[in-house]
Amino acid sequence: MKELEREILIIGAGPAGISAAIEAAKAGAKVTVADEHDTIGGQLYKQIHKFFGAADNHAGMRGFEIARKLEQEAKELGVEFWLNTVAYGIFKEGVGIVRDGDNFIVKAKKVIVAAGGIENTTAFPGSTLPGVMLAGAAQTMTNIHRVLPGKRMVVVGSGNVGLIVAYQMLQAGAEVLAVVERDDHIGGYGVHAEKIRTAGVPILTDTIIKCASGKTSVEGVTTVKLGADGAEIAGSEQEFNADTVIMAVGMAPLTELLWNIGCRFEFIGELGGYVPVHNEFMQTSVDGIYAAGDITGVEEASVAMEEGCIAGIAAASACGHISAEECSARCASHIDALAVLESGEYDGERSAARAKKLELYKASEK
Amino acid sequence: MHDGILYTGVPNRQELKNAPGIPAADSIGAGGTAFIECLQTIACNPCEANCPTGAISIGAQISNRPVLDAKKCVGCGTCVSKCPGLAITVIARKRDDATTVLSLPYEYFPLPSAGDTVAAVDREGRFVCDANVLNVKPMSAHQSTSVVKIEFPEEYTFKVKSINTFHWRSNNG
Ligand SMILES: Cc1cc2nc3c(=O)[nH]c(=O)nc-3n(C[C@H](O)[C@H](O)[C@H](O)COP(=O)(O)OP(=O)(O)OC[C@H]3O[C@@H](n4cnc5c(N)ncnc54)[C@H](O)[C@@H]3O)c2cc1C
Ligand code: SF4
Ligand code: SF4
Repeated sequence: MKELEREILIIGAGPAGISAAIEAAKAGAKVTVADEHDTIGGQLYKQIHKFFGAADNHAGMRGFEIARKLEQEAKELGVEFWLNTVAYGIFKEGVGIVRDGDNFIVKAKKVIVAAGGIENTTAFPGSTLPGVMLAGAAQTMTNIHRVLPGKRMVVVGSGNVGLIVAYQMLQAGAEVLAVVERDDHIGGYGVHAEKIRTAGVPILTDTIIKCASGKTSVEGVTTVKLGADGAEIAGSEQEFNADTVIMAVGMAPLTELLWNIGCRFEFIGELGGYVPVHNEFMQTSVDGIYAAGDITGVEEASVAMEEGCIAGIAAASACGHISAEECSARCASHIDALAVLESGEYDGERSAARAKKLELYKASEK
Repeated sequence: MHDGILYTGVPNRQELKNAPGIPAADSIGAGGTAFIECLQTIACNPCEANCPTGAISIGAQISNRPVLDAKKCVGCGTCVSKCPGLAITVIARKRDDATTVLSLPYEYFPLPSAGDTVAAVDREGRFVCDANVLNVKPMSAHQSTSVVKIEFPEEYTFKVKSINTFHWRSNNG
């Protein structure tokens, strides 16, 4: 098979991958970023809301604007982008790539995997009907292709993604009849919840979808309340005249590439499932393979960017562009930033989860 | 039954009272003061970073809640359009007319125009009172968040949260 050589290959052009590319290029490395999409930015590309997080990481800007800014910076530094390009496996021989119908192996000195996450689903009677979709699909249709997927919607899940999708559907002109949440409290930030409550959307906690019905697509949705024992409360059903159900029930790290090359994993529920263990420089248990962003645990763009910066600096250093001391010095501010980002009432467990990954990495080194 | 922002998405009375940066009633001058309805410790700080007078402090630990120094706030409204949570409004009082002037972030179409009468709504989207639109800053000026300035009777000062120009639902009475 055809082989190509590259110095640093980054898989995924989301905020983590582009940040890694920028820092590695700044350190003097030659960098190539591959992404299966036709647009740079990962999740950011379909986000039209203003981002939370540190102003230093462009919070306050809208997602797609952050993506454009990062893209421009990377291109000015000479980073090579391969779009419509799938990395299908990492092998001892190199990274398997399919690009423009061409199939080849990339031999890279260092590989940074920044593949992001994948949405979870939930099942209920009627959940296979057309009109039931994931939040990402609703966002892609509405925010990118400007096609509203329906007129009257019920959103499942009150995490930040569910709350934001509900708000975006309202902005696009749909009616959001309710957001339903299985827990007894709202999962996402209060400020996001307030936006949709102010628009008159109820958030129904302790509630699930009992079923969606319709002949060829969704024509109605029935919800039901759950008691303290988790069982459905008979008679608490509510009918909604909805034509669309949007699921926003969490995300999981997209880790196949790292399993495939034999990285060590640990199950950490707060981070979305099995995550690769890594050291503070984002190096996984397999030498030369780094990971950054949602793939190391589903968090947020600010965290993804900081992790990307660290991985980029470390990979460039490992290629010999900067010394180990310089690497530590450049990474220090990003490592500090992670500690700050992973605090606050929503994030207390995440810094513990990060510590656990680092500890397990150390243990596996021995 | 639980109430409050975490359970209903609507802050309860106590939470609103403890909101960081809530201007004391007698400090709400004609020029206006920011009211920061940011109630949880989330990692976020564009309000602090963009305030031209340094009236908002959060600090290096960006999950701290914002604190407003009302004396430094000149009511310019920059933070209103910068906050990704749409959590900040600027409140001013017109004592002679016994009205309140509220500048609020707005991201829906259609945008109202100065001179319109619009429906002012509470934190559950319910109609509170009619409000006059004094001024509408275009979306282009603030990364697509418009700032709409409305005037309404002062008795509704902390009850009115926003306006609704996009559609009406059954829960509006
Ligand atoms: C609705 C919503 C709202 C959000 N709001 C905020 C917010 O306000 N603030 C905030 O900080 N964060 C927010 N986030 C989270 C943020 O978007 C993500 O945490 C962040 O994008 C993760 O970055 P990443 O680079 O790790 O992954 P991604 O952005 O997911 O990028 C991964 C990229 O890898 C590519 N890829 C994957 N596998 C392959 C492969 N095998 N070959 C080639 N390419 C591949 C994908 O195409 C994708 O482009 C939000 C997320 C969602 C869904
Ligand atoms: S209104 Fe202006 S001066 Fe007052 S806190 Fe906001 S940005 Fe600062
Ligand atoms: S910008 Fe808004 S949401 Fe962020 S900390 Fe400031 S007030 Fe809170």
